[in-house]
Amino acid sequence: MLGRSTRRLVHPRNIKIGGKWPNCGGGPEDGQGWVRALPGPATDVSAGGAADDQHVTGSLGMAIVAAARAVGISKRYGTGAATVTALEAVTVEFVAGQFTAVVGPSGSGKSTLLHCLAGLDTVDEGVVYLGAVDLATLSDRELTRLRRDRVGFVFQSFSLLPTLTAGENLLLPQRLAGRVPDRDWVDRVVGAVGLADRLGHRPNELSGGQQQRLAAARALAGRPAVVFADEPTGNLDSRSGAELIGFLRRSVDELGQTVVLVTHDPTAAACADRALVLADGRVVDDIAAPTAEWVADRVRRAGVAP
Amino acid sequence: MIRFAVTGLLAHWWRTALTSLAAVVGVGIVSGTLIIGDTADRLGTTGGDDVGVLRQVMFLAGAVALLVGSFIVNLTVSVTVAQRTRELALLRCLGADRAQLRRLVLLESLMIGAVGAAAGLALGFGVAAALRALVNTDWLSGELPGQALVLTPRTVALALLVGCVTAVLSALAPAARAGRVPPVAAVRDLAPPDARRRRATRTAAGALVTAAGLATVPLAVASAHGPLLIPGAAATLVGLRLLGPVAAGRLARVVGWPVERLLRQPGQLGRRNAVRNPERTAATASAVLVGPALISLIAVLGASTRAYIVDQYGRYHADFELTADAPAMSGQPASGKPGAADPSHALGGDLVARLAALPELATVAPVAGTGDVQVDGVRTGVEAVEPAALARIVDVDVVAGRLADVTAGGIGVTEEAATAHGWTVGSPLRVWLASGRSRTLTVRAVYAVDPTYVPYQPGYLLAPADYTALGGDPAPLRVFLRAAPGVPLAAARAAVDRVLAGRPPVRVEAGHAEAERDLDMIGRAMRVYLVLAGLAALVGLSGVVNVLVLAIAERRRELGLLRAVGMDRRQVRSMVRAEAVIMTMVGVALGIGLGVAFGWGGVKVLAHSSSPTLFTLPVGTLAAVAGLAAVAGVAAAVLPARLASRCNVPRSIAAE
Repeated sequence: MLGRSTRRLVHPRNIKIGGKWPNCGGGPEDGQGWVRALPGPATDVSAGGAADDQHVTGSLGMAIVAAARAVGISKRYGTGAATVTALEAVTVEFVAGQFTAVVGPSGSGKSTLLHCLAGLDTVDEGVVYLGAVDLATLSDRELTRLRRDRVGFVFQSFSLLPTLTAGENLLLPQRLAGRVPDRDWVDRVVGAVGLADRLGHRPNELSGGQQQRLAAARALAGRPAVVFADEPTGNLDSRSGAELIGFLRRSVDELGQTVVLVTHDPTAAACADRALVLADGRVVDDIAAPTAEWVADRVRRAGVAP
Repeated sequence: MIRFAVTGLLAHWWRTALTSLAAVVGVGIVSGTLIIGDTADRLGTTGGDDVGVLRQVMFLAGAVALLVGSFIVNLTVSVTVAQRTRELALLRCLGADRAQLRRLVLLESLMIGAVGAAAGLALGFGVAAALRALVNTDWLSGELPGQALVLTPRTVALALLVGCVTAVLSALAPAARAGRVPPVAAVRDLAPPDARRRRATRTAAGALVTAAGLATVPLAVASAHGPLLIPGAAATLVGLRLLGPVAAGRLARVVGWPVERLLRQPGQLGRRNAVRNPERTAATASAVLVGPALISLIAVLGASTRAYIVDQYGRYHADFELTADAPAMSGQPASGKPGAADPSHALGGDLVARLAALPELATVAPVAGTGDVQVDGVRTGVEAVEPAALARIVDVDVVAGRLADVTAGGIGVTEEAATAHGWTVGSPLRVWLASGRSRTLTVRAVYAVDPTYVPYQPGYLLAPADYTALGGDPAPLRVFLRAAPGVPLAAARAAVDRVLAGRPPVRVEAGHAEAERDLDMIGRAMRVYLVLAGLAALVGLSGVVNVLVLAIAERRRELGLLRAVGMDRRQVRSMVRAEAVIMTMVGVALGIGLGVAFGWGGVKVLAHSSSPTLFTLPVGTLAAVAGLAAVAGVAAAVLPARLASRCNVPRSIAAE
């Protein structure tokens, strides 16, 4: 298993953490090619560790800053009789250093929740905080800056610009920001996704799995406060999907990142520290250390129940 | 950012090249004109006024070509921005702010403009060579020896500046649109904004502006204020552009009907494709229409001017006109002793009698005359000719009295003089000749005189009997001849030449030679203008190519599907061709309509000016324009049709 084989090579603390997710099936069994251990502990692994010791429902009594938080948010599309309620009074909090899966049947509002949390979309009611910042108070420019500096995205498809090479895509956010990328960090991330020798290629010369791993690496290259992944395995075969989820898992464990993953794949959700189940725009369940069976069952029931 | 723009442009190099074509012609014309100007300066020969006029015309043509080019850059960049919505939204997600996206689009356009300007500069040499050839023809009679053309840094700088500024200005609106792409568009198809209300407002505004623009035509005619037509034409263009999506869609349906009939299923699909994005079709049509509008305008003005000349010469029946080699009707007193040195006497003696004796001639009308005459105290000149002979040479537009009554004791005057001095038929006028003799004559005929084109019209007209009695020199200043019926002009001319042989030099001019010279002049000028307007049309056509190429890139899957269900390559090409022809014809139909409307206005305004016109619809030319446009549409479809038919079936369906 990816998790165990790599975790053994890195910081002892991560071995302890890794043990908690027996369900996680990410990564190739044979430990080939791209699966390389990260060269050393991430700088803020301790923060991830600390968060990990809290219970996932994130009691506010503890001195933890939520990486992202939604308070009573609602989102509707259309007008009049054609109104569709995508989110209904959702209150949820994402603790830093945690890997959260958002699952639910089609149309349950999980992608909308992600877009609202990431500041891609606005909410009709409620407040979204990224870190301590209320997104509604930001101008477009400030919001752009916030997205650029504090948020990473992985989309289902079309995450890369076809005209740029892999390496250029990877550094695009930093370039846009006019910043000099942190070479060491970028090299570590690239090494972790096993694309160090592919950086000169165009996206269409990469496999679907490589493209999505590149997108994930780009999301992490700027050391964002949160990485939002919207069905990143949706277009991948199961092995490539497992590799990508394994990488996201390790980015939490070894690099101390915070990941919010929207998925319909119970196996992917089972790699997370926590699963949120949405149905009809509401959070209907919120558990720690989900298993694939539980997620599949829960989503099926949510989809059936009106 | 620059790198990103460059890689993007290189990745779509053919699209870039096509778009930059839009700037090439305009820059080519402008730089060619600059080059020829500098060459003339360097040689120290200015080429005279001709080069100055040429320069003005060429800069105007360059401006029109650049205007059309800017339409196309605007169109292409707009379509590209729409097609790249997801890419732009992704950039927004990754932290690009609005200004960065705007700058990206503008930067790309700047580079497109620079590439176009560089190519235009190269074309400028060709334009300059063509101009030099034109200047050196006898028509413009300038002198620009065939030396190396001069390229100054100023020309290079101006060409680049013009190309880049045009491209960037045209891209401002699409760049602003690019900046407004919301980040969420990267992950979700945006519901198209509710455009219906905006479209209604836009249509109303378009109708209003178009109506206002067209209203300037009758207004200009009524007030005889020609310059009014210029803002009118501009307003109509803007109005049509606003009306575009509604108007172009309807027009495309009409124009498409025969195309559909002709090409069956592919034709039907082509027609549907042409109307499915009315905004785009409208934008394309407005780029296309400028060329045909100018061509029609020029054709109408040219044909109307020719028609006037032909009409005027229809009133002139002389087959030959003889004049003494040196001009005698110069208003100089023809006094002094008659002698061989006086060139007017080349026509004197027995010449008239010998000509009259020729059986090849039906009419010999000698016109004598002198300056230095006073008519009722007005200093002027008079002419003397038999009214019956005059009537056989030229149709005089008599407004009062009868020309035949201008016999002894009578005088004919122009309407202008009659009005100025309050003369009417029956007024007695005292006429003094330089000889000192005078006589009172009665006004027997008043006739209108056209200030232009008619080769001979009488001024003050006396009967030859009175003229000689008053002491006027009887030797004619000009003799008009008309061949006898059935006698070939060459035979008549030979007979005349035999009579003239051995006499003092006399100039013989074929009756309509002047008209032919005028018509020839107009024809040449029209050809130059038509070539320039044709260049604008060509630029417009490149817009059709552009839009189709972009549309085909967009419809990959659809084309694959059509191929999968059994459309063969030939039919795919036929479909694209149908769309191209429809788009072109919409623009051409609008262009011809506009050109004729404003041409009519221009003709009516000019009707009573110093270059009068007689409105004529050059049906043949306009039909040729429409026919050529259809051919041009087919030509414009060559590249896009090829791209479309090459489309790989399974791969294009699997794409995306």
